[in-house]
Amino acid sequence: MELLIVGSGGAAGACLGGLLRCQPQGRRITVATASSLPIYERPILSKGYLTSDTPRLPVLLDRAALDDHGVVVHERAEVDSIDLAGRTCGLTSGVELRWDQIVIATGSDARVLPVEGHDLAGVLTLRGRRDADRLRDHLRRSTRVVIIGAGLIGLEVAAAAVSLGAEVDVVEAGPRALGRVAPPEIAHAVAALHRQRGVRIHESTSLSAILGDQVVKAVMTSSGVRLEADTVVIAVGSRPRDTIARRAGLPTDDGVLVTPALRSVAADDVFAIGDVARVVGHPFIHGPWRSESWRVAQQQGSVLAANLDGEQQTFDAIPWFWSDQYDMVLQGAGVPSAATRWITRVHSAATTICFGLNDGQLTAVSALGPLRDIGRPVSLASRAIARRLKLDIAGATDPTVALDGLLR
Amino acid sequence: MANWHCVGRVDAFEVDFSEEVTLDGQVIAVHPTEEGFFATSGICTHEDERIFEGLLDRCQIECPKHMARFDVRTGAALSPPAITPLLTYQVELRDDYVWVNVPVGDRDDTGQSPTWNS
Ligand SMILES: Cc1cc2nc3c(=O)[nH]c(=O)nc-3n(C[C@H](O)[C@H](O)[C@H](O)COP(=O)(O)OP(=O)(O)OC[C@H]3O[C@@H](n4cnc5c(N)ncnc54)[C@H](O)[C@@H]3O)c2cc1C
Ligand code: FES
Repeated sequence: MELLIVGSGGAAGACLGGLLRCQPQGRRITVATASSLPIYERPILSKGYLTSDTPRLPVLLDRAALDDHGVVVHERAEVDSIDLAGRTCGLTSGVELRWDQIVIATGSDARVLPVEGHDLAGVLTLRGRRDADRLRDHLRRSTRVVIIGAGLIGLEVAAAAVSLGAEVDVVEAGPRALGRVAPPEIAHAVAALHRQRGVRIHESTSLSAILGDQVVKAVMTSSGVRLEADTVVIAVGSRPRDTIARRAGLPTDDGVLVTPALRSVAADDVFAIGDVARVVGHPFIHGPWRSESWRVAQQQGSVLAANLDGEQQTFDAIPWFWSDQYDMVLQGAGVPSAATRWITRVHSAATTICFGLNDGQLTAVSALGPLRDIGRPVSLASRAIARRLKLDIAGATDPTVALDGLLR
Repeated sequence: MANWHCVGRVDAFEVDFSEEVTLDGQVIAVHPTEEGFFATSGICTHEDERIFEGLLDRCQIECPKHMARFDVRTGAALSPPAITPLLTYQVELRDDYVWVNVPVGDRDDTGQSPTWNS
């Protein structure tokens, strides 16, 4: 039995971690990945990794651990074709690998903007370790940084840049920061944290051109403003790396379509996990759904490992993510897009918790504050979402009423 | 060598609300559960967050920072991103008080061994 895992990110790492706990006789595991080992924790790349003088890469699995378990690893090896009928897959190097079961864990890629000047030196994106090393280096030499996109990664990079002493502008095409991931109340609070530290956020503004001569010099915005820059970071979201699946004829729709058991909706021995997977039939999410969260990638990896070992688990966890914004933490759980109404609990000057409701039922939570104020409420709310709790709105918005009593 | 510390009256704890104590310089979380009291290291093995403020439910504590889960009875890491188990400490109830053993010198239960890499 040949099991081939394509990719070595968070999802593949958790899957391997699960599989290696009890490796049955007769199964051979091969990993083909465009990255190099070790398998590490990607979220740090936009946080402490950029600002620390001695950046540390938290390791999930290293080469030695994989070697010890007899896992065959092809590093810096990009898969460019999958043959479903012949059960093989081709690497760009020309090597062909055989499989009986294949796991597509290719994650996502930073989206690029096809604007003039996007290829100038000093225009960067952030996805992998190499990108982070380059960005680290640039931020240390930059006095003017422009970030395109006020999403989680864009704002984390803004925080890093400003704390390293640069002047920072963030250009956001949407009407507000964090439009996709947080309700307005929380997004405003996050934007306020940045403004307090001098970051300028230009909302409803898009990028018209990046100017420079080999090296970037400035950015022109849709409102005709010229922002000087020695580093430009494009952080406008990501795209699932599902091309190999699509070309193989697997059903995809901005991600590889999989069942809640993480198996392709159309092929028995083909699985997809992490950012590249779009789950059809998640019990709490209406319509096909793809995540971009570290925890979800790891949970899916663990569920798939169990299933490959003969269990019949489904991925039904409530999605959860976090982001570090200076000394504050932003956490969200549930399905924000399902909320038709948000209510706000002002816990303290620094802490805001918003609950998303649909017909009175709790569907999402979003919170900003010190970890000690928001960690427990978000955990409780995330479990309450799974129980389809009807929230007591008067209690939830009254900070003197204990959330434990309302949500437990 | 055993080294018992009294950490408070039993009725000062509330079931499913962990508390943090520092004993001999070690941060320890005490977990009052339906199954009794347990004690573990108070620091998450993922990124050194204090875990006592996390949610304790059916003998599992969830780290508030990235939601790793541990079994407080065994210290086992049950869910990512943590890989390494928490150290556990013996607990005894003596009369109305909770006592925790923080052994001096070598431990016989060397909790901290990575499960994925081993
Ligand atoms: C800078 C940054 C910060 C983040 N911060 C947070 C955060 O704070 N909180 C949070 O919840 N989430 C965060 N995320 C999101 C989180 O990291 C992702 O959701 C997670 O990494 C997805 O895991 P994955 O395994 O699906 O994909 P990835 O981790 O992207 O791994 C994909 C792997 O597949 C390989 N690959 C791709 N194509 C091929 C191919 N054709 N052939 C072979 N190999 C291939 C890649 O080289 C890579 O090894 C962050 C992401 C980034 C980029
Ligand atoms: S610090 Fe506890 S899960 Fe990350």
